[in-house]
Amino acid sequence: MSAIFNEYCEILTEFLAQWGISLELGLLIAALILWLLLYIGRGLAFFRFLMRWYQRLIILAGLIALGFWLFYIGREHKIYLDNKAMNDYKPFEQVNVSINGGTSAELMARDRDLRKVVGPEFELKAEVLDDNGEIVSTVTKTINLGFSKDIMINLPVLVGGSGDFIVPAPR
Amino acid sequence: MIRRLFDIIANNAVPAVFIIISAFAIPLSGYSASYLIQELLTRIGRNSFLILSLLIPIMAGMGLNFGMVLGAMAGQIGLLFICDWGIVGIPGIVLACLIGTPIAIILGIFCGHVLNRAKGREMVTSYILGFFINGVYQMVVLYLMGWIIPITNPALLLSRGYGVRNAVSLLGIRGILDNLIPTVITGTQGAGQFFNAQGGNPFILLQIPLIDGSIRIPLATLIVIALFCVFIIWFRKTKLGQDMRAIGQNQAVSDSAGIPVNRTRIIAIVISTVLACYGQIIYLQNMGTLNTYNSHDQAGMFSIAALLIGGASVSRASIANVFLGVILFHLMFIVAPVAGKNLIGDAQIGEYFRVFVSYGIIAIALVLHAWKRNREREAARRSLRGNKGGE
Amino acid sequence: MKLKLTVISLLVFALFAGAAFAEPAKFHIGIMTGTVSQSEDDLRGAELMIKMYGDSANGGMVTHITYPDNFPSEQETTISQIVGLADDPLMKVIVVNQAVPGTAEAFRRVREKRKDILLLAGEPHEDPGVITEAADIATHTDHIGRGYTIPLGAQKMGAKTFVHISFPRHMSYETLGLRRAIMEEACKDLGIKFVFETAPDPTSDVGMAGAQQYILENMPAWIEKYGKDAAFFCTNDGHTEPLLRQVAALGGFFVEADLPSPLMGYPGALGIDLSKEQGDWPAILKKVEEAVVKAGGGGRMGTWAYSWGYTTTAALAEFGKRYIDNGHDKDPKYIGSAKALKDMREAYDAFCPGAHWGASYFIEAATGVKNAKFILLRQDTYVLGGGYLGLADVEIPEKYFQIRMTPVKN
Repeated sequence: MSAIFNEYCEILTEFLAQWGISLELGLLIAALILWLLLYIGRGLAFFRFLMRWYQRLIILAGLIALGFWLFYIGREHKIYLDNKAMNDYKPFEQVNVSINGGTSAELMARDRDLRKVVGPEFELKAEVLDDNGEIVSTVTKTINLGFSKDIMINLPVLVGGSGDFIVPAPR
Repeated sequence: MIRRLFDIIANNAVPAVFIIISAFAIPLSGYSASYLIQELLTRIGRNSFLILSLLIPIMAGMGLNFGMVLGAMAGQIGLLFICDWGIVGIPGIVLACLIGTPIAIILGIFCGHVLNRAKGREMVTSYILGFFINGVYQMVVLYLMGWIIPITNPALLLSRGYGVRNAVSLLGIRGILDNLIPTVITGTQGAGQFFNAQGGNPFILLQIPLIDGSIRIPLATLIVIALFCVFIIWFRKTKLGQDMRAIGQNQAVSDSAGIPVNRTRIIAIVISTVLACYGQIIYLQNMGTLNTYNSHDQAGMFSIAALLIGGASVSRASIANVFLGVILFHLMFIVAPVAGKNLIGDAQIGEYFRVFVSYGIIAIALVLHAWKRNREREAARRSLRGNKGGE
Repeated sequence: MKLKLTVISLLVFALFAGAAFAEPAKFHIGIMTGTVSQSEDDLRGAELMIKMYGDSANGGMVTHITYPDNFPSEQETTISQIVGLADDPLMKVIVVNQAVPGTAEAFRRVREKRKDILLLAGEPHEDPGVITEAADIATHTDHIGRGYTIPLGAQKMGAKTFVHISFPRHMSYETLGLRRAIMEEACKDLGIKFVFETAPDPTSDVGMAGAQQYILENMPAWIEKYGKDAAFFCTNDGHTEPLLRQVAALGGFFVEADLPSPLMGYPGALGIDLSKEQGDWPAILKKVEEAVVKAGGGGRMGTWAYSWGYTTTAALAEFGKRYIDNGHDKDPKYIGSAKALKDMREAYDAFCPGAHWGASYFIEAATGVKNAKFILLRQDTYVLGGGYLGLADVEIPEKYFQIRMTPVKN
């Protein structure tokens, strides 16, 4: 029983650490929220409290901000992986790409593949293979999509080190 | 004494009839226990929230709120937007709720104002209002979306450039809430071979030797529903809840006691509409596909039917009625077609049997209710006369 | 209590169990169709399968259920009925015809529980991408191929002009609008003049009677305008009947209806009584043919010899049976292979003695990607009083798959 409790505390600490909150502070905030809930429970004071327009405005702004945040973290992006020539970069014989450590896509020259990611940021790992199937070079890159939707990544440019490897996705 | 006994039977006639029919139909259907329990759990998770949203207007004496269809439409509009933007998972569901809420509030205020002008005829008014708003909804979704309201996803839009497709796949949020805390009950054998859609292992795995096969429990959905029940119990005790109950008892007295009757009635409808919006989102995340022009059609009808079958009346409904109702009504939906088929030996007669039994009993529920209300009124009149001392 | 109920139910079972088959079937095939009031032909196909392989309740092979008449609003029932079929441990094949909305979700749920069941969808109402992500194979009438074969048939019959009769609501449907665009292109290539005529929508205020009246009254003018060597085609089933009557009387050609079947339009247009021939397709065809020749329409009017809905139910179930019998369930590469396409075609041919089917995989117009789970089928056109046109084996030129639906100006 206590083992489960300890594990739970650990998870909680880790969870709170994301926002730089220690466990004690977290518990304090939880107590505060609990107290507030009890306060609301005493009656309709909470509704009257809402009636003041500027407080309404703050809550409305908070909700809209929450909406944007959800939009930001919950969006599914289609990532097209393109192993084609672009600018002066030649396509590779074979390149294996995995996103966020998932199953890797094997792209031969002039191949295009599609992966889906959720959330604004993802880590891409590209392994370039030579004719004998041995890894020549490995590139790891963290890409932030922000509010945009689908993108295409040109792998030869990415591995070549040039900055503009992101191409508009085909429609 | 006989009258008392008769009252008890009359008060619980509808659930009793349903229990008797189910008792015959279950063995006839030949379904396994694990299938039936699984289907019932799924349907409790899917439908309870929608039905619970009906409780508050009943408390305020406004009858069964057929206008909950308005909330369902608001929820669907929220879902259409998140599908267009490609928001998936829990953020998608929360965002759909967030978008649906203001629409539901506006529709609820509108509905409340109309119902205040039709006091005493709330049910039929809200029923017709549902049709009216359905027309507006169809116009918005079929003509304005993609034309004035920006919708760009080609999977959503008809290829003519405006209007939403008839069926929208909700794969991004399908079963997200149900499988948030993956819970599985298996018999002694099924444990090893169980797999879930994502390929991962269930979080909680219980083994009960009596069950054959495996049963998946939508635990997170059930927790949300439980929290909602707690909300309703708490709400009854607040000042607003007390006001509503007073209005439900007698509007004139409440008015003279200083309760703002019209305003409180509007609040009751708004709360119901917003909750119906959330209910529809929970329902559709379980269904996995949105039938753009039809999904909301039967939401009100089926919820009300389930509530009535659970033994509720137009003026009194409890949480227990909701759960009894959802179990009995949907049990009938699951077993009746196959039971009818096995009884008579023709598939389509099974289907007609289901329609006949399910809707027949809804009709009986409504008739019984009207009859009961007349009896109550008569009894009240009699007791009034008795107080004056003369018969 | 429970024991008692079980005993009662067993008694009821014993009462209704008819002549049991000698040996119980090794596996079961579940078939879901509409009822008589929704789609009679589909249901008759299922009844044929029960006649052939026996009802599973009596030790046979087939379990037949129906979806609700009000299927757009009662998706829940459709889903739990299909999932209920998978509750039978012997169930190996599930056929849904027509695959009404909710079928894809039901198939997903079956899949989560049982990986070993073959899931087949006939005439899906959901988008190709949605249904095939859940189903193993879906079959649909070939709206792309027929956009080419119908004008080709008109040319073979001797038409110089092709008149396409429809209205805006139908033209906003993806399949119908696309087919019109293909027909227009095909006519250009075949050297036929393509004309689009608008007729009132039967669901609008004029009603079915008004829409039929319009066709009856306008046909003489159209024949006058386009000549007696014009072929007529309409997208609405209600328009078919008056159109057929006038083609028989006044001249012109009619290749086939939107949903071709000897029962489509002909009995009403020519007053044929088919109550005795129910379910016997060659006999129905013969009687319709006699009536058409008598009315003077011989060699000018065509149809499919067998109903689409009827054949689809039977053929999908037959395909499923052969799939299990031949052990294709052990071969993960079978679905989507050329052999599967050929087998599907043979399954359809098996129920249509005399007629042939053309089958091809669906190609998504937007991306050019082949969908190897979505099979398009078309039957050879039978000209009444003239025999088959031989359109089933025609190769559809590649270019017609790339045509996109043009936006319709209302």
